[in-house]
Amino acid sequence: MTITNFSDETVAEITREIWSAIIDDSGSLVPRGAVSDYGDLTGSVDINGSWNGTFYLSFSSTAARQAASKMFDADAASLSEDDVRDAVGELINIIGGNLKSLLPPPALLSLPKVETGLPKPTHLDEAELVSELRFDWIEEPIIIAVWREPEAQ
Amino acid sequence: MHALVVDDSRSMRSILGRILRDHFGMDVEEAVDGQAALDRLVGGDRPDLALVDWHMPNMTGVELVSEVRRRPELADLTILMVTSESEPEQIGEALAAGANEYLIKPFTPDAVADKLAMLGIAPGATGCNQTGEGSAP
Repeated sequence: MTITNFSDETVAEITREIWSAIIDDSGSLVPRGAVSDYGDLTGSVDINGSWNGTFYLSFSSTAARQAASKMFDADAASLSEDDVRDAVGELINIIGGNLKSLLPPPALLSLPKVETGLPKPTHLDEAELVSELRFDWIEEPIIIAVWREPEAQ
Repeated sequence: MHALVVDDSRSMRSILGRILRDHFGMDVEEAVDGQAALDRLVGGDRPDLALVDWHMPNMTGVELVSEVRRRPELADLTILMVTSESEPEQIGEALAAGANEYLIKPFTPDAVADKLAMLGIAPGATGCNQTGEGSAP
């Protein structure tokens, strides 16, 4: 399947598949209502090529640490901040790569970035918010967002 | 069996290392990037298998595979690319560079088993001592 843009359904399906495979296969990533703000820790990857934009995955501190504990198979309290940031970056890298695979070539995936305390992205003034979804996991918010940059003139 | 996991992500090295140790009885070393992997591979006691991420700073996984294949002493090293890059073009690029097989993230232990079987690697073999940076819990 090749697509030219992302729907909420596609973003949700890929996110839940990856969450289930890596973090929690109990189906506990529950869709919730509107996004009011991003979490404490936000990972992002850029896509450049036939489609240009950025994928964001944002966590509360608690959710990020618990997700990292699943990936490291270690007690959450034993993990360093770098461990938690690494896990957030790897998750958005995998989600971004799988979403990117739906686009026609060429489509290049950047290395992940992880930022602390990012509010809703403000550097994408010209960008279009394609999809923004909130899930709850262990009663903590998980936000996935897709921003598309305008076509070059 | 002695495996080298090459990934800039500690969490992914941890996941892969656990699977290789717990499900396949392998001894596992880790390298944080392509240069560290090359340094390790040209040293003594070479691993039998390298699992290589695509997206790494300084040297991509494909560049690492190409560099490995340029070295006659590493020509028979079995290389499994492990990445979220799943388009046919990317798979073709990795295989053309010299990777033997391709594993797409996210993966399950069963998916790893399938790939190892395709590579003719029997699980449960034991080999060299475990050394290296940041072994998974």
